[in-house]
Amino acid sequence: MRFFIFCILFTFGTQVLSQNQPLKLEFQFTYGDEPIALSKKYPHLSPSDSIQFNVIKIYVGNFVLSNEPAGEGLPQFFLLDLSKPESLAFSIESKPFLGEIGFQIGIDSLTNVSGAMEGALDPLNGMYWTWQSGYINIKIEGVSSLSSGRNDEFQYHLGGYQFPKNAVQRRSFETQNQSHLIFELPLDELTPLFDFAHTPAIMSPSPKAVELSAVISSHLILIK
Amino acid sequence: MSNPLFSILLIFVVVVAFTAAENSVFIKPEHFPDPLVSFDNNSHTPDKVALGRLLFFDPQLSLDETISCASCHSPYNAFAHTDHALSHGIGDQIGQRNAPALFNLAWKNTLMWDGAANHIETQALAPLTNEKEMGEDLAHVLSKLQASSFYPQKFLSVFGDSIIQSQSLLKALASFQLSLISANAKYDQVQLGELEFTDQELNGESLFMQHCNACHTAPLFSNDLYKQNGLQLDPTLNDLGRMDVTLDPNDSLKFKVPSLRNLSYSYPYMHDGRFNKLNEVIAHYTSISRNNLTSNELDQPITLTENDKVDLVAFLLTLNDKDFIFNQKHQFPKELLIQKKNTNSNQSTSNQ
Repeated sequence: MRFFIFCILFTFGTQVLSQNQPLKLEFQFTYGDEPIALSKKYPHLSPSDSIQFNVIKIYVGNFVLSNEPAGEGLPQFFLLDLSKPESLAFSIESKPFLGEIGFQIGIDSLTNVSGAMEGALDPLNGMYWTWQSGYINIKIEGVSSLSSGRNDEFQYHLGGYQFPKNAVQRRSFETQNQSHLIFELPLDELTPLFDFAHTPAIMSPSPKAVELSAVISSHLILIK
Repeated sequence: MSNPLFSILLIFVVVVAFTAAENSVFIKPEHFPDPLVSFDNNSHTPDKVALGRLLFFDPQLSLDETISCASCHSPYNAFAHTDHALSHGIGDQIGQRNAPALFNLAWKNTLMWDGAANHIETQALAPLTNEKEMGEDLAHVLSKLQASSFYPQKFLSVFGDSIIQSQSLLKALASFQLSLISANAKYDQVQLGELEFTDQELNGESLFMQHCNACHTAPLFSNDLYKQNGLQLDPTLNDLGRMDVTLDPNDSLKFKVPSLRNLSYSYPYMHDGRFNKLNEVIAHYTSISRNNLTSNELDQPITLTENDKVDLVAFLLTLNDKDFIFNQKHQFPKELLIQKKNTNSNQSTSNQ
């Protein structure tokens, strides 16, 4: 009888473990522990200084869970666009996994050379360089009184897929949460590292784009 | 074999295979290598090529609806812009480079003089949005096409969706351009054993193989690489070529090696159209200063007698492909005029 019950539980458990289930992923962009509102002025480094963000768009994708091999074919990407709150949370199909999730911030080289894409990768999303083929992985635009740019603007369009200007980043996070993960990018910790005075704009693949992409990605944290 | 099910299955397979082969209009010339472009994600069908042709010749793709792709890539000029050193776009603005000829694009890994475009499907975004060329915005182009009386039906027929997506637009344009194959010049007919070179052309071919073929490699007459060929920087343009893309100083003044097919139709020559005649090009290569020259292929000075120069030009002229230039499938599609006329009459009727 015990053996019979064991067999039923084992079979049931195996089926549950092998079933796909949605894993909800959520991304938050914060400034001083509050969600960023576009075009709102935030205090910056000193009382006389302020900063505002007009555009925040970031590609994430190619999710790999610790017990799954990387998929075949072109990976799936999602465009996080702060102007579209619905884009900041989505689900991926996953099997119960063993403690680690990894993903890319930016578009891989194979996707970059694979022609016209649709959905999140549609050039209509304003994340494709037209004068030189390639996706912009991270786009952050705004205004800071520290910026030497026109009208105090700063524009960081970070991309590039060819060595040594490959700006794609990869992060991995350990977690026991199997259903809903929340990631946070605290921009108040990042902006002091932006050199608004000397580099108010990065608009093409370059060593600076790679460097800043790494800095931004390294500040991404898993909060749940 | 007596099993009827097996026979039906066999007939089905043969019919499907035959239909698929018939639907594909991309036929590799037998003396060409395999194409570099994959058709896996963009099946090459006659209806898609025809739609791409309409789009290629339609000035609606530019902001003021005066410039089409064909404005700078004319079929009678091997899809280059003859008589224009630098092409001009909307508002009579002059561009930065000579419009390259378009043919045999399935054998190119990268496009444009500096290789800034990594895929033929996304290349069209560059001229579409360049302020000096077509000056458009992709979303605006799509809205104009969507509002037309005929494009939604065309896209429905080809892509199964009457809502025109950017991906469909780009794939259709790519399909037409990939259909532009130049492989029936006298050179090709000689390769296929249908004609023979004259003695003069034979000597020219020999000189070509000795001095030119390393970069302008037959049968495509380009090795698809970037080379610095000794041209001095034009200070009015300050065009550094490939270096503007890679930021690598070693790529300074390197440009894509162009094919030498159809030279009689596609002058002027070089990335900035600085030479009008083949004699000027040959004079350049026989008098290059070796200082700061980075292309190994040009290490040795090229010495040619006057007779050699004439023979070399004679060989180059065997690369002219009249069938390609005057192919009716490459010309302005009359259907575009008819569709526009219908659109205008419908609009005037509805305005009355």
